[in-house]
Amino acid sequence: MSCPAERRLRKELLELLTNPMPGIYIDEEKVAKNINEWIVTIEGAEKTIYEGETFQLQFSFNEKYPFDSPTVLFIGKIPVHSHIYSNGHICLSILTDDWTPALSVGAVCLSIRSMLSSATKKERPPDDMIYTRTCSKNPKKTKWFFHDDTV
Amino acid sequence: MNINCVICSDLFIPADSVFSTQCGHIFHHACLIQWMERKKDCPQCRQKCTERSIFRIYFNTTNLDSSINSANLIQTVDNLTFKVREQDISLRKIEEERRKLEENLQTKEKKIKSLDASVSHFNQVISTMKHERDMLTNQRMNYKVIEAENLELKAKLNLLQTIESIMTASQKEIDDIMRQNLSSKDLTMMLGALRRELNNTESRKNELRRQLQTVRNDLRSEQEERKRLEDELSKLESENHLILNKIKHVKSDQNIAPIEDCDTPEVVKKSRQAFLKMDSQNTPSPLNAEEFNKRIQNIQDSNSPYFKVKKTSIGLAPILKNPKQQKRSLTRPSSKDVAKLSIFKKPRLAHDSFPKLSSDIFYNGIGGTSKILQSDLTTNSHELSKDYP
Repeated sequence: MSCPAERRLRKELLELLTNPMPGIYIDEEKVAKNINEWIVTIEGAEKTIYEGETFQLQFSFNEKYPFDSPTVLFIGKIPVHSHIYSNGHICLSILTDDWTPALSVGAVCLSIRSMLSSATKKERPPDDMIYTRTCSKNPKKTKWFFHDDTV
Repeated sequence: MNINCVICSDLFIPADSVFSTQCGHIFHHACLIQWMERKKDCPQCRQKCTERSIFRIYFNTTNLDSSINSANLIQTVDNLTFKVREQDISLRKIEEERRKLEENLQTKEKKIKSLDASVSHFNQVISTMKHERDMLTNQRMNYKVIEAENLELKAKLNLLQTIESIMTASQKEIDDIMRQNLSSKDLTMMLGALRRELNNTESRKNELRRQLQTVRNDLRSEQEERKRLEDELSKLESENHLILNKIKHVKSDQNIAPIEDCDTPEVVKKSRQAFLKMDSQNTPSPLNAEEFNKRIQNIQDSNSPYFKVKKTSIGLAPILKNPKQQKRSLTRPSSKDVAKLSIFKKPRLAHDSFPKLSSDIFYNGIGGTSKILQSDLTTNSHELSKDYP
């Protein structure tokens, strides 16, 4: 059969499709083409500053998943948030240092959604300009300094 | 036993080596070791854990086979469900494609229909155009024919003009024209025209000849008439002569100077009256009789084609029929004979069917008769009325 990473991804996909989470939609066609590249659409939660807005997240998995964390970034329209850079990179600990194999796509989406929901004003991170100029394409290679541990 | 390892998400089966952390979370041994190579904490609660702190746990299952089966089955079902989903997706895609193609087909069909309609429309237009073209071609042909006719007629006209000029022109001019027109067709046409003209002239000539003939006939009839009249005149003259002789005779008898050649009607009348008075004593002189006979002979010897007509004519008929009797009557002319010869009598008096009158009855010289015997006037009148109704 397929490798363990793929098997787990399939199970996650099946789980998300059979029991969909509110405000999180998976681009099934894209996933069917390539199980290692997911496009997930998340809606801004009700009664938050992102209500009515939708954003797209791109998940990229490698063969070491779930021991390796997936690469997650916003594509298309980037939400204005103090932890999200204008190039789509997300400053979120569970995507790097705090990743555990017990986490899943659904858990990550949920975390990001709650992160968006907890914001009170739309603003870019303070080092947005410098970071976007200097950072690597892969957010996982960034050595993050997590300013806010509340999330 | 639907318990799974959160790392690989596979269900635990009794055969697996399952390890628990100190915090009580259980994983496959392989999964946990692989994770602990990276990070020495529990994947679920992040508590510190080392390879020494983890320990193996064992499951006590009652029905080993069924549990294995159920785990395997769930996995298989999961795989199959996933596959079904994939198939569904592809099916949906195909469906979508089909729909699109159908739409495309419909639009194409519509297009085809519209194109068909336009094609038929154009076909109609083409057919009408063809019809028009045919009509125009026919017209053009007609025009051509007319043009040709026109040319022909022009040529004919020219020819006729030349012919006309030839007819009126002098010999020298004709020669000039002949030198110009050497086309055989023209010449034949000219010839035909000339022949026609000749025929016309011929017919006119014939007509004139006919007229001449009729005129000649008329003349002849007139001449005959004249001859007849002359004959009549001669007859009258002879009569006149006879009468004159009688008158002479009577005059000589009565010692009256003879009247010579009295041509006036009054004299003739008088002489006739006198003659009638002396009716019974009439004796013509032999000389006069001879002259009379000579005249008759002349008439008979005449070459005139009207002799026969004369023969049947009133005056001469009795004389010619019976010349001997005539002679006798000339020598001793009776009142009956005189009446027969007279031109004053009606023609039927000279007819053979004339009833023979008795010797008692005498002509009175004015168309009636009278009896000498005056015994019965009524019978006499009766007879008169009977003879001359």
